[in-house]
Amino acid sequence: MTASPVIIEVLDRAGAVSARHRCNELPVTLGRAYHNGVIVDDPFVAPAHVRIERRADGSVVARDMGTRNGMHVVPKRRFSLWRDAVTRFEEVVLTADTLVRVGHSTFRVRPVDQAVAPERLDTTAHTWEGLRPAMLAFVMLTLVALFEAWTDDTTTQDSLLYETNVAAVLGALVVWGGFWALLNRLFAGRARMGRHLLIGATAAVVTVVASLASEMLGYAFSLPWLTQFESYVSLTALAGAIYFHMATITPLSLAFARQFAVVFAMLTIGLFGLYRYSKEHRLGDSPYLSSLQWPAMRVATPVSTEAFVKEMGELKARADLRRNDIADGQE
Amino acid sequence: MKASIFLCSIAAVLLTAVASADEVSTPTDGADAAELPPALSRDASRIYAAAKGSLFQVRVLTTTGRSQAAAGSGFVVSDDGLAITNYHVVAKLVTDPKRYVAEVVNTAGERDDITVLKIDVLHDLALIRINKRRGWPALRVSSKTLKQGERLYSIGNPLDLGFAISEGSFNGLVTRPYYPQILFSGAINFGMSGGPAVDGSGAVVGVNVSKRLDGEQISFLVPAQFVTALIEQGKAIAAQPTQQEFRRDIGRQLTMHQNTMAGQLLKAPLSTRAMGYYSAPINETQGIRCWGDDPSQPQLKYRYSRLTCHMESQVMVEDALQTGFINVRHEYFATEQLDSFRFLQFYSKSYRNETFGHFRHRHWTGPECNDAFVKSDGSQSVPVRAVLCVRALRKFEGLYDFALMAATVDDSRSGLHTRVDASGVTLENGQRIVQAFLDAIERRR
Repeated sequence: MTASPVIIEVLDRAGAVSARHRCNELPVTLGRAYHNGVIVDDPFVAPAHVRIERRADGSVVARDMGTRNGMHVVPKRRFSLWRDAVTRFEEVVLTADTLVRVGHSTFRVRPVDQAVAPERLDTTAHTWEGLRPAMLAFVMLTLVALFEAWTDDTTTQDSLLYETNVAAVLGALVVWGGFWALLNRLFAGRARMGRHLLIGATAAVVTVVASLASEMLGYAFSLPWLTQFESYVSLTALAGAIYFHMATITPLSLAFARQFAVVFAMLTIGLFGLYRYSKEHRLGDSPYLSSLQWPAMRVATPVSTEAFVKEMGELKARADLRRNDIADGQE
Repeated sequence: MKASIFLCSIAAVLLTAVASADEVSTPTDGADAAELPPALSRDASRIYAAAKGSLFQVRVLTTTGRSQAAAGSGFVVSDDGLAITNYHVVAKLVTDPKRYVAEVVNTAGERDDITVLKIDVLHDLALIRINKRRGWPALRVSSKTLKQGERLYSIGNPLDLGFAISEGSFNGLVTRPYYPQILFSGAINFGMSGGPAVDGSGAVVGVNVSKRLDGEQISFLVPAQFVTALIEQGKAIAAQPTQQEFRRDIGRQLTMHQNTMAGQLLKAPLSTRAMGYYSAPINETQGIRCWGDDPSQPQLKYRYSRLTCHMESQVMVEDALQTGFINVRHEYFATEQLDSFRFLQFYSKSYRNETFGHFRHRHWTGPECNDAFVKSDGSQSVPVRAVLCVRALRKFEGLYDFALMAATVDDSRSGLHTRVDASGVTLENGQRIVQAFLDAIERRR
């Protein structure tokens, strides 16, 4: 059986391949000195560090050439035993996924006939970049800002109400979109500012619409809880926006974006709820339904004053249970 | 739409001096007529000289450090050491005996400690016993009725500066809100609380208690009849009741008070005032003042007017625990210029802007609330969105604060917000009050 060529891949710290070397014949040595087949510029790597060779049974092994820092195997699972990472190996049998660390560098060896994943379906709308989504974002948020200003416009005095509101909202959008564009540039080499602006604007619109809808539904059916959790809805919308922002930064995997957004949502909602509860002894934003809408929109039938007043007995019983929950400290 | 009401809500202030002056001059043993303002009449000098031996200053001190926490005045009413001061002077001692002690100092500079025997929180009186020193002469408590304009002399230790007497006149009884007080047209000051007010014969006709900060020489005295009654109730008590016993006594008095209050309020149907398209129910019984204002300004695109009814006094049990009152506030909103969407947004915002207390409060539990659409059976009745919160007074079983906030929801361009607070009442009275107000919110024909 003729030995097929192998590819030696040197990875950077983030796990991305930084260099590939095709070796038609083994053995080959890896080290810092220029006589090596694979040269690694890492001060913690010996001039001749590892020798990669093929055994009689066809398996490929890496052998430590007597170095100070030795050779280590990077554990497969990220949270695997810490011991794996510090054990020195004299010889390692290399499979396609074995990651070997020498000094601060890692490498793996793959045969040229290594199977690769099928091509990912490209759902990216490549024309939907740059100015077009950015313009849409600005238009959407300008409308939201004008709507909010119009709602607040109950005096004739504040003549710049609309202008200042639009400026503040668009300014905030640019800062938010810019932050994500910067991350995108860092991780993926391009900013995709237009996309990020659109994601931010959409989240803002969703929040405003959800809040209006919950206020109206809550009023119509007399459901206080619908209006009491607006802060939580906003946090969920924010987590959703973060998912889409991260998914836009292409090299980050969708699974990672999803995990991050879910953890973000749980953490912020949990912390906010905890904070609310510690301050107010309730989870909701307000202790009662606080949205009043058109008379025609009310579906719930009103209760009689007698029935409403009768409920006070239950509230009293609840208050009585709390009577001693602060120690008197005076007896 | 909450704005503080300035002038109209200034109730009479109690006259305990709280140690704040940098140089507190203690009364010297030579506190004689030479210390008095020179403008006083010969009568005043004579009366002061006669009363001098019976007067003392009450000082409430912290147990740790013995620094002065409150100071008032008092006077001896029996040869075996019974004496009178205001309840609010010794309130800390009664409600928190671990952290406060009290001492009395007479005009000769003699000191003694005291026992509180009996309290009357509604009239603001306390019967105390001077523990060891005997022989401080007693003042006679008068039982005769006074004539308008009769000369009275109020004595006490104003602002901890030394004993002083001030002249004024009797101007009848005021009942605010439920307990009569003598309107004394003369100067009394912080620190004179609990001191006697005497007539020309030197007999006690009242006890200094409070004054109005928004008026000149408008002072109040507790009439002598309540002093006599308290002495009768308390003279046989030997030792100071425990904190628990005092608490039960205060609870009993507060329960009595709220029965009077609710009875007065509900003995006839509530009166109403027209506010825009609505009839706003109010509680115009004695001692309750309603103030209206209309802060609408030309630049506003809506009209807004407000009516607030406050009781002019509350029952002070201890610091930060004032109870036994009913307050009502109505706010009317209407618009012609605004569309209904914006009006309703704005109307909701005002309805949202209400607080009902905090769960960590020392004296009250957190609010327990319920809200619903409510409509009474009346022909003119309108549906309202109402929220009702109950909080219990931690120290007084059976007493609660009830807060009702209701907003009419029968129109999209006008509406009435009504808030009713009943503090320190029983469940039954709370229910009667809430029902009465809810039933009386109506649309005018």
